[in-house]
Amino acid sequence: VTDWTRRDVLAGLGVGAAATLVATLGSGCGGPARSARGGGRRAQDVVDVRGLLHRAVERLRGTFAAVRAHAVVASRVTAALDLRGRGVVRARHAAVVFRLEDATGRVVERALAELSEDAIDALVKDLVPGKPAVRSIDFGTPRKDGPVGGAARVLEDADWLAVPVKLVTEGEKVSNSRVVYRGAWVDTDDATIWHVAAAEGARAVDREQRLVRSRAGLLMVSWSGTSPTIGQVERGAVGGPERVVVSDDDLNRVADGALELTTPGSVPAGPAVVVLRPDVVARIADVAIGDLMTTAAWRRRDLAARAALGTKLAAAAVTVTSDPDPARYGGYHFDDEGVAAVAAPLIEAGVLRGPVGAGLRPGHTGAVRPRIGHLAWAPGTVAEDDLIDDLAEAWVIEQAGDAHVDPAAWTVTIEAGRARRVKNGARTGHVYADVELTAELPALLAGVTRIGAAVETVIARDGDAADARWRSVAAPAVVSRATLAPRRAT
Amino acid sequence: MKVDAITDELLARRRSDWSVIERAVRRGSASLDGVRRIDDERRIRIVVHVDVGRGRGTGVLELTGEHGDDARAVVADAEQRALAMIGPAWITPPAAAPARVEVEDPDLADHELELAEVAGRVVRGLVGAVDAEVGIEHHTVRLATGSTAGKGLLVRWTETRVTIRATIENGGRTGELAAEARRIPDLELDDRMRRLIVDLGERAAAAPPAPGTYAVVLHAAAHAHGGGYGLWHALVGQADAALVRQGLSRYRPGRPIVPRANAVDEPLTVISDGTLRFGVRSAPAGEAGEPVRRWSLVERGAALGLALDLREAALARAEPNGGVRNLVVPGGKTPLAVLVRPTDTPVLEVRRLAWLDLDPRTGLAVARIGAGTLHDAGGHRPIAGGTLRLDVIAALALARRSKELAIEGPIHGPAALRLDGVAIS
Repeated sequence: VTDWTRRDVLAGLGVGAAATLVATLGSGCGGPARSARGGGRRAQDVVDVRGLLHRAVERLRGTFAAVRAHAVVASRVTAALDLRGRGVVRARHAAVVFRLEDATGRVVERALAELSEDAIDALVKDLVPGKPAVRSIDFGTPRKDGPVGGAARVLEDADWLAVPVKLVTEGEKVSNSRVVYRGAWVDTDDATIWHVAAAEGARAVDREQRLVRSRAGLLMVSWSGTSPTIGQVERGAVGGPERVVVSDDDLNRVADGALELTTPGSVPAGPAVVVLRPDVVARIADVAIGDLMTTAAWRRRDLAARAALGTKLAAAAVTVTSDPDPARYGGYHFDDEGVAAVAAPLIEAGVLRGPVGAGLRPGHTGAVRPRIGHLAWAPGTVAEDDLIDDLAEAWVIEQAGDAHVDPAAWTVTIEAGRARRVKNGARTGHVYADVELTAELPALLAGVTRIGAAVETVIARDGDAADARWRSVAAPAVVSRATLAPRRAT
Repeated sequence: MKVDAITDELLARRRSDWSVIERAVRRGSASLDGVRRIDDERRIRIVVHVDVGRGRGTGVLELTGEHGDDARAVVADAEQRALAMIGPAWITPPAAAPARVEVEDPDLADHELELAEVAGRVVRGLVGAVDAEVGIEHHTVRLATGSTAGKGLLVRWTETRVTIRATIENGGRTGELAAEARRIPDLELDDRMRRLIVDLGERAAAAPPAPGTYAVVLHAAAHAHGGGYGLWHALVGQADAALVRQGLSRYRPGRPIVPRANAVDEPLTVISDGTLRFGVRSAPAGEAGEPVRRWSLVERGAALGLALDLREAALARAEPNGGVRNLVVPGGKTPLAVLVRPTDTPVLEVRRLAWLDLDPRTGLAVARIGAGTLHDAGGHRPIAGGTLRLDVIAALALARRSKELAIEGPIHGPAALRLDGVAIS
């Protein structure tokens, strides 16, 4: 199977992370490990990025009332292993964006997809033709925030591959020969970001942060009749690959996802009490809270009209916070406008406090948008085993897939791999595959009756380099009401 | 890194067939908050095919400003990648003449340095916008190919692209506007705004349709949802030559795409045309130098052509065609006004989707209705909400197409499609 085909086939099966896996392995692959490296010298090896930005800001400040320079040098290593081969891919990316404000308040951004002295010099000359009036600026002592968990170690290909090899080996122990495909991956982003700013009447800013984020995952596929069944897990952490923990429970969940025999037929369609596992809660929170409870999305009056700030939106036990703690996968020390990370409540004890939004840019230098890096849904007190106690009729929904939100109706639809029937406080053993859950978010939040004590963190990494976006959600299991339907088309 | 140095090195080494494409992109954009932005980017993509005793390897290298200036090292890196990816042998098809197609708006080309200001003027014209971004790109492209046989191609062209994403508010209700074109007038913003305002006005009284089976009429904005191929992506996915070669596609060349597809009154024909003037997927040549041609994916209900890049064309012993580009779908005989008339079942006229989730491998899709009208014995009433579940390949094959035509992104096809017997939940 070619690269494109395998990636798309697996993506079509709902295996989002497999895109990384097979993109790494490439086409026609097999045999020994190989490494593909970007050529040339790294920008930070040959250029004093801070000095470069200082000089550019000083030259631009002579013309503009306020100047910000935001630059990134990032490297990415992805190592993957599947039945067909193994591979390590290394990539690098550097870019800079200048945000310039003139005396009238007019704002212009100029961005370059490289970070060389010549390119920046040419850009400054373009912005300030002739001989610019250079302002000497005291940037003070730069503040440097190192990576939480320590810098990623320099690893050889074999070290990178050791992570997916271990995952596949451990996955084999908890699965059997019905599994027709196994793959595992590790993916580490290591970005250094500089922010240098100067404005009339304000102290100059000079900050630097290094963000190291890793994720690792395991995928298994088997066949059930004519349909593939898939088990997959992906965990993330800040720091190098050794910081990612894929637990025994995670491995067992992957095996169950691939091998579990499901009940013939379909889940009954209609409203139901649902016990949403943390991965489902996290996915719903990601698209229906993280994407919509931002200052940008909240400009939609029909969305904002659903709940006024300071009024009750959810059950009293629900608290959701935007918490870009740099110890979280989606966190940071400062955002892409140079503002220090700060936690802010969105929903506090059921009362709407948001919206919020930090200035984040795709790939750190794209167009800035108010976004949320890490969402934290506060845990409850109910033990995992007690969540279904006393529920006369309910469905446990797990294995979150794609989710969509209709912002005008604030309605979320999520596909899930499993719905397990609960009757009189116990599981009946009925388990249906491929279900779809739909709910208006305010109703789902208001209907929460129980919240689990355990929290899982789900991470997401979108885009490639210039459009990369990192985010994470920590969420517990919750019990509420929603509408269920079979997923598959007739 | 100078591209000439890379091509000189490739020519001097004569170890591979190769292509080098350099794309210098200036993008001007504007947002509702008044910020104007200019992005400058130069992308260079090198593809080398190295033949060894056991087959052919292909190495792809995307150069960024991060790479050094040593052309020899860059070419050696690309060759190293090729040698790590050895697959079955194939021979590069001979270079063919590029298509003559206009893809640059001369008005925008004249304003290359003011693209952000031009984008800003478009943003200011979006009455009722609560969020908006307009981007205008100007690409200068240079493509060179070569082979160990000494034959090659050198093509240069310029192209423009305009994209808009906006949230428009009317009467306290909001909706999305999204469009892409080569020229600003081709966005047809006035018409899109008018249609969106009508939908927003009706939403106050709109309700989801009752679950059941309906005839569904999808307007172009719905069947080509999302600015890409929309529902037609199901056919694009099936026409992938690699999938077909490996028996992984539902699509079998020469056979009906679904049973009875060739027996309906108006069998479906779908043509890929990368040579349409100002088509959003038009280009003189593909990124690896393959010729861009007009070819049929489906003809009178039967699968016909496949998307053939250089490799797949060589394996199929056929001419490369540049893959799937703009899709041209001839209209039917029935006016739109007749398609929406209820017969024995009510008709859901869907003007836009809230979202579409399509699996191009299986052709199955789930979509939520964003705005539409229910036509039944009781008259007409606005609807919003409700979920469609479709086997898209069957639905498109058996659909009745409107006589009226419309352009929506890369889809040049019927203004509406009528699909019978669709389950709505």
